[in-house]
Amino acid sequence: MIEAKLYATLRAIAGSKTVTLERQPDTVGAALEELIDRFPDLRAGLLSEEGTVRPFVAVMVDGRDIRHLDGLDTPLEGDATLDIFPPVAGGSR
Amino acid sequence: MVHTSPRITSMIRLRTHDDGFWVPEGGMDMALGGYANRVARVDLTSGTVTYEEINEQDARLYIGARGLGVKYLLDNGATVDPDGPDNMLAFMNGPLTGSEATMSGRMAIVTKSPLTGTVSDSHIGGWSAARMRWAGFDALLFTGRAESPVYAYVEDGKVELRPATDVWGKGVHDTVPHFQDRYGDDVSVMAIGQAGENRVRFASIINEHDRAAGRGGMGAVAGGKNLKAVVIKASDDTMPKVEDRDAWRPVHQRALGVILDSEVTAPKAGGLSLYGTNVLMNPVNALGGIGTRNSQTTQFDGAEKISGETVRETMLVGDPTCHACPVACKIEVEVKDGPHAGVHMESLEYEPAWSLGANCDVDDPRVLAKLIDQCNDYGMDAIEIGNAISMYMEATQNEYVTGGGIVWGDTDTMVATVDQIALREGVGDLLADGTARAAEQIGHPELAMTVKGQAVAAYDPRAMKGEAIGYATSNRGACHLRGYTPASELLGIPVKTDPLEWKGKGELLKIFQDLHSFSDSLDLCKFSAFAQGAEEYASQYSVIVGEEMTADDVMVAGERIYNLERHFNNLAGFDGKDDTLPKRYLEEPGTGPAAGSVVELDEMKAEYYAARGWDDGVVPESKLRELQIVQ
Repeated sequence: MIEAKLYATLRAIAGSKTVTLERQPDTVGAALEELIDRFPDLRAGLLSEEGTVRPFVAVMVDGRDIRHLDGLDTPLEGDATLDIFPPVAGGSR
Repeated sequence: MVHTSPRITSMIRLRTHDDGFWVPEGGMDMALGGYANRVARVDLTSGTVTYEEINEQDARLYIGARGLGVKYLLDNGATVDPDGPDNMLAFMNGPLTGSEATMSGRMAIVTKSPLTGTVSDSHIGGWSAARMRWAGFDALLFTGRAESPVYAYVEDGKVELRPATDVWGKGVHDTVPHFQDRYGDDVSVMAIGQAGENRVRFASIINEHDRAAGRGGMGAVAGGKNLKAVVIKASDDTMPKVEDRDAWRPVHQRALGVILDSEVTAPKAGGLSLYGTNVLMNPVNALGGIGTRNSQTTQFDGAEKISGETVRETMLVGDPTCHACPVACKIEVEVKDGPHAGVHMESLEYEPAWSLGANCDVDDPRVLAKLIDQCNDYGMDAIEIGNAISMYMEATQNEYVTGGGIVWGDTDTMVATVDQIALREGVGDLLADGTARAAEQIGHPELAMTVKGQAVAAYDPRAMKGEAIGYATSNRGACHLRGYTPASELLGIPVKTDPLEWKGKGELLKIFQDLHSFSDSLDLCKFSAFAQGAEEYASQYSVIVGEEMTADDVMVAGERIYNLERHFNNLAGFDGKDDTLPKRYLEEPGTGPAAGSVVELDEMKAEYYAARGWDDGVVPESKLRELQIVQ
């Protein structure tokens, strides 16, 4: 089963750091669809009105941002790591 | 579009108190607004203080803060001994510092670094910068060496040197309240701790307890001058206001509005505001960019435990801010249990959480709070010290050191070692000279993750190629902030680029370096760049200074400042051979998502130098003329 790892403000919305995806999604798009079905408040943070991933949101599969893969069509293998970050930045000193 | 206004009506003026508050001499006559038009030159050897006006042409070319500071340093001589009295220590404001502009509570401290031998600037927020402006100064330039410890007391346009023998030997956390007790709450104190006094090469100047001008050894230069502190008394009663409110209002609303609306910087909503800079620990680790155990690997199993999310959940007690900043990224924490219970400090930032955490195999944020608090009290760069200790840990692992050494994750010994470094005792005396010199002494320079003698930051260059060329070519030694390419590689600002791809990163880096050189000279917080850009910088400059500037002008001015720094370094003996990286990054691949990745340094340098118009790291005469650095 694939676990979606959520970070920063997304955790408060889902009430958890990780969400086990029960529908066995085969793409990132399907995974986000399941997450949003279960936690509808995630939609505003993750997707634009057109259904694309919002700017500055980082969705990573095995550490690679899907913007450099196949976007929402990026395939998910059974042991894939799925990390989802809202817009974050920093860098001190 | 940039909104400009007539020069005179848009000048910032100090409001005059009913009782005749001091007005900076010459300030009203200067053609450029924004500046106090007053600079103090302090000769610590003779104890004399002289005052002068800002050179208007230099101000037009180099803006202020970082840029103008480097110009003062260059005029002082690029070949001075950084450890000697001739070196200059410049406290520099920009034309926006302490004004109504959003995120304008910044100053640059500029010197020739005793760690790197390059010119270096380090910035601080809080309130000292604003108070320096409110007290009527653009710059305080220190040279020479006092016979005995002194501090500089700054108030109402005057600087006095006063004895500091009673606080010499004290940490920052005792020094700051000493002066607050003496002069009242409306003082800001920038001080060195024992590390600066003992000339630890990466000693910092600490502002208001815990905010560091962290990098480059500013504190060591102050210590060498017997300058314990700069104490500034001023209140916002004298904060400069823009007279032309009609011109300022829309410009300010735009600049503030993008900060408030940004999903990164939005107060109490954006990731930076809620979690502080350490919100980066998890995403950078996810992409394989967290150097672990002295960068032997690039993912840290304990990242979640020391992340901004965990710190917020378990330790957060406050979120203080700086002058004119709604973001409030500072993370004030308190250790509630364990051997370091009671440690209360501000702020647990990303870079030291990485250097003392992942890089030393420490996954307990309570210990990190203790270690960073020690660094702030002693006045030391928490990035450099984490690298120095991790280098020594790898030397221990490889049995290159005699005695017990320090094993990975041995936090008790780390706490003791921080004390030793500040006091130059035992192994601390070795590490106090910085990661590179210490590794050289041990006989294994390859263990030092440094560039030009300064240690790397919290982005492994094998996983983030923008930082690879950024570290290699940084004018102040390895530094993530000269050109903050993670904004592109992680977030997508201004465009999303693949962190593992090297092509195009040299050109991207140049844009970031030039933009930051300008904002560092205004001086606005670098985090403004997560929402603002050259347009907002240009429009604020135009109204406050009163001379029209476009976004293109901003980039040219930034390029000029960056080239001025490089020219300084060229005169000091640096060239392309110094723009390099530790062998580890070139030969040992990263791990996790960065598996198989090494840095394509030669290709990246060629691309970067072409974008810069440099000859093997040297600014040619033609470029110096093009940018009006020489006539």
